[in-house]
Amino acid sequence: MWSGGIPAMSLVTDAFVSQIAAVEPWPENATLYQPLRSEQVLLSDNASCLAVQAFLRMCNLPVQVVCRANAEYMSPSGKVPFIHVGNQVVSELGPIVQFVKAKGHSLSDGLDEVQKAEMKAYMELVNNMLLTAELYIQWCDEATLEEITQPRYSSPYSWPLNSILVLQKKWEIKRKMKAIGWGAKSLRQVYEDVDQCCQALSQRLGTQPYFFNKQPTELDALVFGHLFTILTTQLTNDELREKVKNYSNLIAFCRRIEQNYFEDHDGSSSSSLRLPKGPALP
Amino acid sequence: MCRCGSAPPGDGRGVRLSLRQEIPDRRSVVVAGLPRGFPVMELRYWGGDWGLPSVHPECLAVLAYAKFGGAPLTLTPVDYTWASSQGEVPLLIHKDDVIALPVNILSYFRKQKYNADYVLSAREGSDTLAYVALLEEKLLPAILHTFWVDPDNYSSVTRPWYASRIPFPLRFYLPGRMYREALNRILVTKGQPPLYSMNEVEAQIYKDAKECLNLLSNRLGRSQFFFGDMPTTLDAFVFGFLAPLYKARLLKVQLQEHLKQLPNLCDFCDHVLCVHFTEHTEGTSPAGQEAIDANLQKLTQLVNKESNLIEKVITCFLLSIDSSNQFACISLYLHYMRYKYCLHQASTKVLVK
Repeated sequence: MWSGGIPAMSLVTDAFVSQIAAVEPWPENATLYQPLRSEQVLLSDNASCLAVQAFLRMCNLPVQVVCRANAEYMSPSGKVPFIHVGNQVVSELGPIVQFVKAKGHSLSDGLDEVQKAEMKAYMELVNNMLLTAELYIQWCDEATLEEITQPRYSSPYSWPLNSILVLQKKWEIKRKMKAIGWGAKSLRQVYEDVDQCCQALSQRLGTQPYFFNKQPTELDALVFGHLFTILTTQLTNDELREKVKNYSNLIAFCRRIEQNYFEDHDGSSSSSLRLPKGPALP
Repeated sequence: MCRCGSAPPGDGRGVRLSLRQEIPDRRSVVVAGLPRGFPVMELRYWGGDWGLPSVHPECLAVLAYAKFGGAPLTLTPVDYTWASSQGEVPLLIHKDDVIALPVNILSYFRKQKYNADYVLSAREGSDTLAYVALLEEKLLPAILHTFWVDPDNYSSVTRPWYASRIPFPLRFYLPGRMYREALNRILVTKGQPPLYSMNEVEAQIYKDAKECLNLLSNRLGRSQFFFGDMPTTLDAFVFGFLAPLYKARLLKVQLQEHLKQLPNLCDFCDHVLCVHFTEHTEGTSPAGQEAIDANLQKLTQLVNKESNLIEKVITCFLLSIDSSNQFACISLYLHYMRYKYCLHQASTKVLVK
């Protein structure tokens, strides 16, 4: 298949990794690294971290959450979160799902081919719209950038490194927005996109408990990560949260996952989940 | 500001069609008739080749949706003359509105009541949004790479094609700019830290794209279109992204090969081309190619015959000066005229293709 001059290096590595992964069972001391929760983490990073946590909890795999100020720089892909399992380090939801699957735990095995295609499509919708919108709001909206993103992102560093890192990241995100055609979008259009995405998710979910009825999949983990973060994070204004709040089945869906996977048996929400800057769910 | 200058002045289908026939080299071609006095929607797009109405995926998606929804368009292929060198492609111009980006153009069509999606349920509408996101995230980078970044395809297929549609001296600059934009998009969206070298990025985007093609093939299954019997937005996008890949004559074919192993997607492209773009389907499909070759052979034979005839006529004419056999001369002359007419017809056929 690889007729071109492209070495299939990463494919070989992938195969190698999954082979090793398959040999060892899930260890007790698996660790998930993420940025400092109270003073550093940003909306989009928190959504990704929460999605991975929800996914691992749905798989019933124990993981210890460790907050590090330099998690972003520890991660092999430069993105949080990443998990440290045995002698493997894997970052971001997609690769983590594959890695966990190689260890014999999968949430989407029961789906048929068409449902798998649909699940992948909706996951890309969330990445393409919600994640991009979160990045846009926190890095391209000047008010949010100044009030929230800048102080939080630069909190572990002193001058002049803090300003340099913020500028670097801001330019990186702006380059990305320009490349995918979001450069000319206004904040209003971004909110409309979020609304459109939530509407699509809400219609797809309907009255089912999870996207593919009884069993949660990685799509449920991803959607939960993003929506729960948006619902519980205090931004400069409530507009983003209001967009999600319009869809009552999505709110019920977030509650359901929170109750089933994040609450201790005595009914109190586990302290690791609550965002300090965010109020409780409505 | 009225920028519909290239629309034919007359309104009404008959007038326009006759204009089109009278001026065959006119760049704008009207797809369908309009009620009298209705401002024409003008679409700027990259022109067609390889048996496709447009070689540019996004333009092709917009064209396909316009066909599905029955939107009447004045089509203006981009030639990047100095007057029109601004702005992106595809671009829709209607009254005072100038709309860029395929998604916006499609929703504009819907607002103008040229809606191909009215058959969809709310949930199918959501699915459409999700699959379009999937195409954009997983398939588009590999398509951009295949056409613009791969050095062999770029230098032997893409750059010559676009350069031939752009006048001097912009032809030396614009294809390069489009190449840089494509490369930039791939690197910015996919070239993140674990993938440091271009080779690794390429391996990753092709792997994603092949997976995406498999998913689409599974989703389509044996149906004619993605949602039942009627083509919708998703069909327009899938057709737009796949058809150039399917039809182009590329040197590096790894993604094309993979697509050709998925017969239902290939059939889907052929079906849309055949039903909705009949005027373009002849020409470069293998059958069309044979037809062209046959026509060329015929033309060569005719040219040979004609030169023989000319000789005969001249000889006969010379003979007729001093002989009385003028009847033979006239009959030969009539034969000559008939062949000349056939020749003319054959050559126009070949030139049109």
